[in-house]
Amino acid sequence: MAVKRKASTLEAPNLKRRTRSSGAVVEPLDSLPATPTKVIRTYGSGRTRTVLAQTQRENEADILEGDEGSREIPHENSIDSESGSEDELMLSPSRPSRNARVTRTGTPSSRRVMESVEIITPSKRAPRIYPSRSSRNLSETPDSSSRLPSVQQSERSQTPEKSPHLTSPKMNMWAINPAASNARYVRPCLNMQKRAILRALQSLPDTRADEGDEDEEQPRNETVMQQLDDLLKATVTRGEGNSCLLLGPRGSGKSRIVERCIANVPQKPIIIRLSGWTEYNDRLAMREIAHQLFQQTGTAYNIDENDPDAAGEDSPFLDTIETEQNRLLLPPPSHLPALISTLPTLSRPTIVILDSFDLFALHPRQALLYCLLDTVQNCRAGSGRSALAVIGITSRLDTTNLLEKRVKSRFSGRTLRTAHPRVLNAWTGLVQEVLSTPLSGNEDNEEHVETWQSSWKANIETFIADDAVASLLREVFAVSKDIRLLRHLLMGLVLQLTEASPYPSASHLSAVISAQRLRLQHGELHALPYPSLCLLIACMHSRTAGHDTFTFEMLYERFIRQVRASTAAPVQVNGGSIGMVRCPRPVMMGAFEEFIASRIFVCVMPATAVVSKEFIKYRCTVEFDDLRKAVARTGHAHLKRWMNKPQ
Amino acid sequence: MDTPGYHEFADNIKTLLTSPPPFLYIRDSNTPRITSYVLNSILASGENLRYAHVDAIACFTPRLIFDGVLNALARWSPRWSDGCANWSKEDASDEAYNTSLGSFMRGLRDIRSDATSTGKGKAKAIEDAQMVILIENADRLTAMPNLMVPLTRLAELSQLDTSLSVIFLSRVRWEDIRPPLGASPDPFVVDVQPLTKDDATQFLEANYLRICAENPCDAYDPSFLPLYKQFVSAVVSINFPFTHDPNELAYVIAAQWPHFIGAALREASDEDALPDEPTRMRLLRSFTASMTTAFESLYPRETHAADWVEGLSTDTNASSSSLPRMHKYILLASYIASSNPPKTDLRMFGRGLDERGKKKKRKGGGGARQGAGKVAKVPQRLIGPSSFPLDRLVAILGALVEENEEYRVEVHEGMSIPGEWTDMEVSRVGVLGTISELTRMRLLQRTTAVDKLDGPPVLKCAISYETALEYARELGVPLVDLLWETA
Repeated sequence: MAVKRKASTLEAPNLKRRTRSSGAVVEPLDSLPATPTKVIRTYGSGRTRTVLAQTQRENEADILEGDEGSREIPHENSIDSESGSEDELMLSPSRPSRNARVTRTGTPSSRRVMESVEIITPSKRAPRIYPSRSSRNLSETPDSSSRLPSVQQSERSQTPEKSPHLTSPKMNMWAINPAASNARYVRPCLNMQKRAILRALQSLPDTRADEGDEDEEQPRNETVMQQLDDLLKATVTRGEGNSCLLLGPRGSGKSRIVERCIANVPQKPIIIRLSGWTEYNDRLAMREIAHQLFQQTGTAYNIDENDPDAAGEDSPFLDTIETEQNRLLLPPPSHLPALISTLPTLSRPTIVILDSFDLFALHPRQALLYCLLDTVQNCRAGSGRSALAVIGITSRLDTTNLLEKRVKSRFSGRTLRTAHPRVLNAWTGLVQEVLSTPLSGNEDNEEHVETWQSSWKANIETFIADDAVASLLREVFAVSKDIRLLRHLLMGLVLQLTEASPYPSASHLSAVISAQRLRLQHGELHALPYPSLCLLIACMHSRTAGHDTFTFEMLYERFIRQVRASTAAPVQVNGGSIGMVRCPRPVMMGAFEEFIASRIFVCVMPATAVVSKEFIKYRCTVEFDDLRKAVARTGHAHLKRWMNKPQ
Repeated sequence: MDTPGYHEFADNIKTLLTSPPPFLYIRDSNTPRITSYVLNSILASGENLRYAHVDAIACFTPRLIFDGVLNALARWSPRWSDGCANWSKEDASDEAYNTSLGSFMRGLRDIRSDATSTGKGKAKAIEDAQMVILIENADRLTAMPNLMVPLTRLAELSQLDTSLSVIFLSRVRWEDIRPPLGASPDPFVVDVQPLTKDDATQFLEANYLRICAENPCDAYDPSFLPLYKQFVSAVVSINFPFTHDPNELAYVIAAQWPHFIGAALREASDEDALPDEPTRMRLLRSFTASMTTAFESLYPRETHAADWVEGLSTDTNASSSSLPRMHKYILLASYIASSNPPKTDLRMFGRGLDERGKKKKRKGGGGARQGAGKVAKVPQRLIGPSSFPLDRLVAILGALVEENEEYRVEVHEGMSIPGEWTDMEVSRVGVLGTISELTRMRLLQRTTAVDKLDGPPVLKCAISYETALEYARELGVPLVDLLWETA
């Protein structure tokens, strides 16, 4: 096998490469070979002739100078397709060579011309057809992008073009953009963009479902807001006693509506906020009411100062002096009706917000609800007393049924229902709005920020218009319309962006969906140490044998048996057995306890002192398929064999 | 210091902390302690940020958590001189903040508003400051059900909205500890990638430099670093398959390194120089065996590093092997009683007058034949000892003693039946006293309450198969023949 170089103007002896199979020396004729379409190869009679058309290359030379990235891609792809063959001499270096690149940039483009190369080699294979770029589909592109960081180390200027959706025509347009190639600014700009989006995500704007929602003249939440606004205004201005229940699924904007309505109320009312989660009994609720009244009015509402069991009984660390002070604020539970009845005597109207209303209905005798609603009912407009409004917030549908009859008859029964947006457009609009958050003003290197913003904006448009993105969003929307889930998805999407792939894409989105919504049961099984994997495999075999619950001894017995079986063959390599590695019992026990701590093994019987720890029964939460994949991924031959061994 | 393997995680967290989500869940099932350290250093270096780091193991009651969080956020440390008072607002606070969730949230709001009254310059800073509450080992919060849900929605409930963020760090998945009925909002989940071998090696090397800087001593000198790197890579290559926790590896290495460097310096030809390459390789080879043994005894903490270096190993059986003969018989009998099904006792030990010394065991070997589709029975020794009444123990003890002990007193008056003497011996008060003594030593376990009067006491064996075999050898009892299921 011999190679003759007939004519080449490239003088770079240090670029000699050796192919693996033949050892023939090939001079890299050009570190930047032509795109596959420009290579003409003739296969036949044992001679391969490669001709590079000079004219074509010269025509290209000008374009290429400012446009390295778009050239880079076919380069990568052609390497991909070539690297499998051993017999063929590679005209292009198998890896982008740093030296070559330096040489190229240093030499004028006219010196790169090469007329022809004659390679005298017996061709054993049929001529290969190079896949054209357009035939590569989207699924392959992440591979090429994953190789890119190594390229970037040699030359950073290609960064903006490395987005995974290379095939999109829009991308190429931006890839040509010469200013965008100034990659030094990608990193700070990207970081600024990330921060801006995260900040925008903290306070999401309202969803606007204006398009495609013709059957409903007004979104439901706006109607609810209007109604609640009217209700509160009636209480504050006209002195009506009102009660209502705000009902809607999680994340549908119940609290947001309440907060806005309260902010809209003309006169500043006294607001008492209670939550079923923090005030889980009436006593706590009373203390909280007394506190909030004290904070907003400045007067302590104490009913009976001489009551001996006034307060402080569940705070044993308080000494007596403090208890004396506290008593001013904390009335005993028996004074609940008296405390609530003071509400209408205050100078301003009061609004009581009961978050997680359903939990208050679970308090014994529903005393708090009864007192509140009774006071509401007794409010008479124009009686000179202040009014009281009670707003319950809940997501439980049967909340009114939970109320006792005497409570229910005092409740107005007014239920305002909030809802999620009904069409996907609301989401996509939100996604676009959030993702295209403009960067806040930054004085230095403003032109780069502008360049970045224009290219970012264009990429976001491409992202939104992408069919794959739309279908992913539709899938998520079909399952959960919770806006908080969307927020998490966007957050994860933004965090995934790196300098290497600075623009969001469908593959990013699907990755973040699998990380946030469709979480794998146990993602990192493949990274477990050897004893842990052994335990899990033993578990699977134990399950196959019909024993879903197991003790440590059972698993260890299986492991020992397997080790014995695998080391039974008297084969030795370098003086060591080739069987499975032994692992002493305490080490295995350590791995077992780690599993218990991370709740992969769940105890199925009450832990008592009389059972020693190796005989406590556990159940495994790892599924067979997950483990099989993980073991295959570790590439541990013994474990794989054991895993697949029928027992 | 940048922790190896945590670059991406640290970048993400730093970006997130600029405007954090109200509830963040970080899951690390492998090395939560290192993650906690990394998070702490990120939070400590964060600008315009106040954070509280509480461990749910240490803070096991709501009150402890409240105090820990509030003191840390207010940057207040209780002093012994003023009665270890917790932080409180300066102007006449009337209540303790740790009594209930409501007062805790008032405390949070007060921390924010307090700075305005104390100082003008500082006020601005804390008004915009981001407050972060990091709760380590968050899976322990499940023991405080009333606290879990409010903590997950703390930003909303305390009306601090975007300026407060709660981070849970745990080795358990969120799905496993999530409160029922969707009471908590789902968090933004960040998974920590497991450390690779290279990360572990780098971690250990960085650790060495840290030790050199913090407390330099003979064995830890920066000039030994090249040798240390070789040593670490050898230890890691041997022990990394068994544990991926760099802290455990560091413990094993710390036990051996002074010896290794001592040997290396002795081998060195020059006084100050490190030994040459062949010597190093020879040394490493000679230490290979001890690397494995060190790991096997130090990783499960069977002994601690100092003892291991001394070559001591605490022998757990030292006390029990010096037991009197009757104690051993009782323990053996208890092992047999716990292992064998009660129905088999007669076949194992039953001796008629005529067939004394003959052993009846079912022929045909093995346990019960397994029918198709039937689940095989797990041997008793794998699922743990079963419990037995005292009477059974005494009966088996009698049979054991009768068969294996030779008595000097052959004939007693009025005792014509063989074995009657033994029966009398084993039901003496002394034997019963021994049994209760063994129960106190936890070599036998009593499964019924001590004050229960009706029925015989029920016991359980607490010695392992290996120990039982050892006793049997000492006493000359053929234990394997007396067990129904063969191992």
